[in-house]
Amino acid sequence: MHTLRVQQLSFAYDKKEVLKDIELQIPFGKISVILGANGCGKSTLLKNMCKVLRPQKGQVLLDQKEIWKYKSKELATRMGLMPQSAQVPEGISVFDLVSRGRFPYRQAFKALDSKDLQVITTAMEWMNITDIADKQVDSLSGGQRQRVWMALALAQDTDILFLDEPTTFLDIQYQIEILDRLYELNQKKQTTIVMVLHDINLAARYSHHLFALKKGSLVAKGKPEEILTPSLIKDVYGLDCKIIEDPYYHCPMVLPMGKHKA
Amino acid sequence: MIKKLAYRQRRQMWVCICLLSFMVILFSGLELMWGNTFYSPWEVIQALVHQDNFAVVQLRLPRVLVGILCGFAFGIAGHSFQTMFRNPLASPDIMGVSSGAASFAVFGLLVLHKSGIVISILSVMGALFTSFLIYRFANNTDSKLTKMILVGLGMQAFLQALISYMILKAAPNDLSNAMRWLSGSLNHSSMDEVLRLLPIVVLIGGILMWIQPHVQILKLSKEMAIPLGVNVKRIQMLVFVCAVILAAVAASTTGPIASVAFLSGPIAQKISRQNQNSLPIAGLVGSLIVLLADCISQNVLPIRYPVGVITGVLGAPYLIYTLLRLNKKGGRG
Repeated sequence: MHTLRVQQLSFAYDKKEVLKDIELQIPFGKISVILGANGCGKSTLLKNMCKVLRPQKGQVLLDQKEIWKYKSKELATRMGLMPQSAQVPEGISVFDLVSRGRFPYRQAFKALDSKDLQVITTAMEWMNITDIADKQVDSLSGGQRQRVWMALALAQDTDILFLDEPTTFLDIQYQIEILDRLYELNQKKQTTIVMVLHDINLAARYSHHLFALKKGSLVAKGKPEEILTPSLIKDVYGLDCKIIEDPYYHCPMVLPMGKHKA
Repeated sequence: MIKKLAYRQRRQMWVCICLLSFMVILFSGLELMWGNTFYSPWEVIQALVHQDNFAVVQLRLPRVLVGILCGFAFGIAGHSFQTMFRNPLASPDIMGVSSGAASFAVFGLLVLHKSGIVISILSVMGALFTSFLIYRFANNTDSKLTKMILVGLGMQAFLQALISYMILKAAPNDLSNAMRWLSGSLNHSSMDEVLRLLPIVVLIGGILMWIQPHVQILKLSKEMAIPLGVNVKRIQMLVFVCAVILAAVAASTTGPIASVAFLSGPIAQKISRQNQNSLPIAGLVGSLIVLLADCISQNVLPIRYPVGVITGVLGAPYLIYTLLRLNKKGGRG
């Protein structure tokens, strides 16, 4: 059992404060989702948690040790990140890209060993991209590309996986597919998953734990059925809504109210 | 399936390296044989063994070896820059690093009236100083890398103008020596230069190949590289310094041979058809371009142009093509 804590974390771009005194503990072996309106700092929080950004104040502790004190490669064997809308370099094949997930385990001048190949094969089979292994990534559709990035993250084989809006720009069937895969990953290997999602209803369905951010501060945390209330939605998004029961999975479902109906 | 793919990739790389090495040897042989007097392969081998033929051993051999080493250095320096900046325009010659070396060398020759090792040291300093200036204009954040390339382009134009100015002002008897700095040339190559180049190219080239996997990850994006365990700042700095030193040392020996650094990377990527291990291939392509261009300039054309003129002619169309293509894509490599 490991622990991942965020302590008193504050972060600012130049002078503009984006995160204020964030204090939280990520439940290990569970799926957590960070919610909030655009610009509330959810992606920034995620980046602070995986060393892409360095907080001005406070710290992130993995097993009581500050993440900045880990060796780069050692930390990379424990936590991975799938960033938002990653650029695809030209002329790189699916296999090539996925195999880069093995980077933290590899030594200079050594080819991929059989363990590496085993993990890569499993990751690709799992994301169902084995038959396009030698295709160029930039020739793929958005949904397929996202599978490739997922496979890369799986090849990294970490206990903790961060994902920054893994479903954005995807058609709904791909959104569901990606989230189902993440859920299965969590069930099968107890991988701790922390992600930013836009869709509150999918978040409620696929998360054990929610964190709600508003203007850089944490305003609520807990199980979806405990914290998702009309008043929280009003507070975070400034939107009136009803909470009903998801007819499939009986988790809370947000039904937003607007001013009109055509 | 996956295993086969990995195996095929590795085999592809070795086939590439072997073929290119073979071609480098082939053209080296050709250049040793061909010249004012033609020697048969057997005569060349005899000359190399007995060290008794002045034209082959004293003139042509150092020329070939300097060409190979400098081409290799330019090739991997260019490829490293292009990979790190994620932009095919970012090579030490396009960004003014080679011109920095040349301008300091010309200054040393024509204004300070120095020669030999002093010029080499000066030109390395020139390249380092130029790249320091470029670096100062941009921190190594992603968005500023493009700015760095633009600053480099301006710098390159300015330094070339400066070199032309100094050469125009020079005394006629200094000219032949200074001219090599205008376009790069293998004339006056010596065994001393080979011995000076060899350890630097091996050492720095070795470092670049050693950190190549890091650079390949960095190429994806900074946001991918950090969680995958790349120490981004350290690797960027290391690649920058190593590539600058290589380009500087090569340029201090032959002058800024145009386009070699710029062309080698893209060609290597095309023929290797994969990204992970194209660095040594880029080096070999660099050597091959220099040898090929030198063969043409020495033996095919009516006047013996410096090798840099030929490579410049080769590189110009590709530069225009790259600019047009980047323009279409909105400036992203």
